[in-house]
Amino acid sequence: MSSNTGKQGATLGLAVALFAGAAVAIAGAAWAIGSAARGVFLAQEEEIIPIVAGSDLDSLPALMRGNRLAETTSMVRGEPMREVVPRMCEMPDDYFDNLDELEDREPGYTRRNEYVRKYQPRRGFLNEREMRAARVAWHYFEKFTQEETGLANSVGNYPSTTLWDTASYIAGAVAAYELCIIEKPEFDRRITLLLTTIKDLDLFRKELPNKVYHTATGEKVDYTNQSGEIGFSALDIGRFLVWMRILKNRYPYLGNTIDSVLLKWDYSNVVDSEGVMWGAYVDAETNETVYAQEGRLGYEEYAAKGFALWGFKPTLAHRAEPFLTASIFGVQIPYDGRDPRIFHSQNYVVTESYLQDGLELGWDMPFDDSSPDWLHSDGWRAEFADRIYQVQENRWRRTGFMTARSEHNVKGPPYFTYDTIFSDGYPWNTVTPRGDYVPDHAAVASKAALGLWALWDTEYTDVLYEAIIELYDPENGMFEGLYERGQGRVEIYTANNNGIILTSLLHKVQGKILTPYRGETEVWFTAFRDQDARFRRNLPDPPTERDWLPALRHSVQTEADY
Amino acid sequence: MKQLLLTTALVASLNAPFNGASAQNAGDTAGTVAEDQRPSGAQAFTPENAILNTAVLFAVGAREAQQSLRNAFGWPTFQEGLVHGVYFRFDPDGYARFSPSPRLDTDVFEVICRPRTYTCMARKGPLMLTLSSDGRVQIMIDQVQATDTFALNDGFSELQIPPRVNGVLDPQIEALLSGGGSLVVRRNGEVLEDISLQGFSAVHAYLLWVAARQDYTVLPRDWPVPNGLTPAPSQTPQSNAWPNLSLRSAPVLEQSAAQQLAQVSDNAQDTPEMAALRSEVSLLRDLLLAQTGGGGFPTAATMAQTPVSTTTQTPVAIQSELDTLSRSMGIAPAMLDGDGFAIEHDAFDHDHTMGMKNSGAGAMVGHEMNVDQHGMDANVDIRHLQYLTGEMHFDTRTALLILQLSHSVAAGEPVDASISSALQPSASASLFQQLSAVMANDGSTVALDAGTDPGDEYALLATYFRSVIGE
Repeated sequence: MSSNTGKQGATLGLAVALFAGAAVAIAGAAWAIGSAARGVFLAQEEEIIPIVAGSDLDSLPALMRGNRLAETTSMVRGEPMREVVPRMCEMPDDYFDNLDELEDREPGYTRRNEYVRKYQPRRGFLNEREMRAARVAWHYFEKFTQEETGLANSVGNYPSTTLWDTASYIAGAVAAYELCIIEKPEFDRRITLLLTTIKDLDLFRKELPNKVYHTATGEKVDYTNQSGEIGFSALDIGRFLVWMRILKNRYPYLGNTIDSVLLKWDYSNVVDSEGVMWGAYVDAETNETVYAQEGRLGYEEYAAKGFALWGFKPTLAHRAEPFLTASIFGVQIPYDGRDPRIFHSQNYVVTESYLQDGLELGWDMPFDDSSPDWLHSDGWRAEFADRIYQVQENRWRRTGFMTARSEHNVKGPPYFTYDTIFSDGYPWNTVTPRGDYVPDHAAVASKAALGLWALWDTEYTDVLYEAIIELYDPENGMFEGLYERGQGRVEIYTANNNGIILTSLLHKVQGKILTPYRGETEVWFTAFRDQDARFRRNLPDPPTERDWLPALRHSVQTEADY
Repeated sequence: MKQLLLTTALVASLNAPFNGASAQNAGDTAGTVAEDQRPSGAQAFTPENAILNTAVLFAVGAREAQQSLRNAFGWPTFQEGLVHGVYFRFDPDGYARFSPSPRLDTDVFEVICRPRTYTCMARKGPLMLTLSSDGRVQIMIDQVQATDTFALNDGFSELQIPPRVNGVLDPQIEALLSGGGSLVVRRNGEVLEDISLQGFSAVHAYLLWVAARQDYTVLPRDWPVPNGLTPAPSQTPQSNAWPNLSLRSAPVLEQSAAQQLAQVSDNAQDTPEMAALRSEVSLLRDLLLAQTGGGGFPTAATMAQTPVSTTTQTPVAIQSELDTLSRSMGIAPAMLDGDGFAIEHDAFDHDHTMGMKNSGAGAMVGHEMNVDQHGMDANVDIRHLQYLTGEMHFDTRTALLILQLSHSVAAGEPVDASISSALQPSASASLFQQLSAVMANDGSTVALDAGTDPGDEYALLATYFRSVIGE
């Protein structure tokens, strides 16, 4: 009994001793580890490299100086930039043999809301007929460009123009150079003279270029070409910005000139903080400037992308909403939902803005410099464009009327018509700017026909091509169109028509006209950093990924709707 | 024949700019573009083409609207409204559309003016509407032959219309067409054309208004002229001189218009030939007026509708007509040349021509009267009327009522002599303006304001049928 009691006491003592030893060991180890860790961390803290203001590690001053590149898909996603396409006369004979454009792909939206169309654009060298048309179209600008100012007349020898039509002239010049119709000295001379004139233009109330200028004098004028000022057009400026970006990206040596032109302008009222675009006009009674929302579905998004290419954030202007659809020949045609009776602005649906977006911007987002031609990162724009094409082909198939509708000039009153697919509640509505219904002015617009032909390689556009490709006067340029009701040609020659035709032909050779920017930085972003001018004029900073316009999708029509 | 030639010339001159497209087309087809056929359209648009001020309202309820253009040129404003059942819009260059639909898309009268002139033409299908050189309505229908027949269809029945509808209209036919319906053209019994006449009266008024440089006085009396919106002279883009002002004036001329006419007449008073003509025409007008006045006053309703139309006659014809009238009244022609026949022919104002009758209308037939008595009474009454409308600013209807009342209560009220003297310049202005317009065309041709009888536009149907059957 006593021996058992002695064993138990020895065991208990051993256990206590072991516990005490373990506790001491753990405490010692903790102290040792803690001491070691402190030594390590304290030593690292002392070795941190300080960020020197203005160095590469200091991002804020870089942003403040503006010497940071706008973020694009190639930077953010690490995708290769689109390649520069050579001039047509510098292309190897087998250039088009290896293009992947013609591969069949499943149409529809991707995860990023990009869109793959079921149609393919035409690609290849221009044939003889097309080259002849290109030369004739360029001849318009040779003939109707003012020597003194370098501005091209909007319509024939009537000496006035807008920024929209001046962009068409730039488009014509770029196409003429890239298609080897003119050489670099001629191209440079024209563009430099033009940009110099535009830089010196008297702005509308020191804000932005007036809606109309006299091409012979560079004086700002009203719609009757008399001295005066009307206001500015956000749509016209947006298109002009598209072509300024195309020029700058393609020809970096023009960059400083282009930047200096655009830096003179005041953007404080043209795009507001919510991304709505505003035009301006003069109140007839008070003579004060009135700002009014400008743009309807189609034109509005195209112009918005022009602003976004320069760092502005026209978020709402780029959205399709508010829009409605009208079923025409089984196709749900989108049109602007803002009621013309309330807003006093027609919601006309024409081909032109969709074509320009497709030809010049590839229906891509402004920040996209890497997607292939067959993938359109501004997905809904491409999908809507397909509807615009489809309804015109359907009309031709159902009624026999060749259809390629756009806004176009006409000879004599009313001088200009919106030859629409849909407007003011009516399909195939041909209206004047004041709203008269003038079906006799319905026409196959040359620019729309060639644009459709370039972007939709179909049997129908072959028919359009045959109707239009020889519709020219070698002395003056391409005719505006072919009357639908058999009155013959629309015997007007315009900068816009000839410019878009040249763009369409260039697209066949080179694809999307806008090329990536390859410079290190831009004066556009670095100028006036030591002044308050950037703030006062609402000049943007280089956009980051957070500033990108959202890529959206809308419901896709899968079957005909009757 | 001369009238036909004038008409043809006018139509040809109107057509010239409208056919420009085909001319250019031909040039282009030949592969050579003449200098004057170079790209136009833009050339067709020049600010100098602005002849109308769109701020001057055509009718009550119209409004001037501004338009934002996508292209580089065009008219920044236009005017739109609704009048006499048709919607309209017009630009500063006179280009206008009239339609019963607010979209202006159906049954449209389209008006185009020759650039930089006030000469305009309206079209609706094959129907072409212009003003003749003397301001009367002139119709031309495409592809109409001499054997074709015309009728006015009011939806229930058809009324046969004489073939002269295809030409310068006389007041009766004009009044018929203004009533609406449709003009049916038949060839060998088959309907060749059935042209709606909706908007005819509005377009006619518009043509007159444009030709008179937006002067409201040429509009019909029932026209809804904007009250108090008569433009100041500085607002209208026209000059003061208007030698070819339409002779079809409203009964009451505004002072500015009367002054314009007076100015024209003063310029024309130098020519002895003009002085002689003036004398003859004044005498003729006196006789006509006396005869008409002797038949009683026109009713207020007819006066409200009465414009003044004209005929074109040579001096010989005027003299012949004068003789005929004199004989019908029992006056020897020689008396007219003598001093013994003293009628205060200078006292008549242009306004009073509303009481005149077109001698060709046959409205004077059957009026047997005592010229001395009835003619002088008429003069007195007309002076009173002039006083009430010109000096007291009563409208014609009210003035007539007052006159009728005064007849029944206190006949023979003395006339204020200052009135006639004050109105004399207007009377001579009216006459010489009419004369000078025709003299400018042909020295041997005289435009005589024969006047439209207020009753002519509302002739009895029986009278109308007699006139048709008579032809």
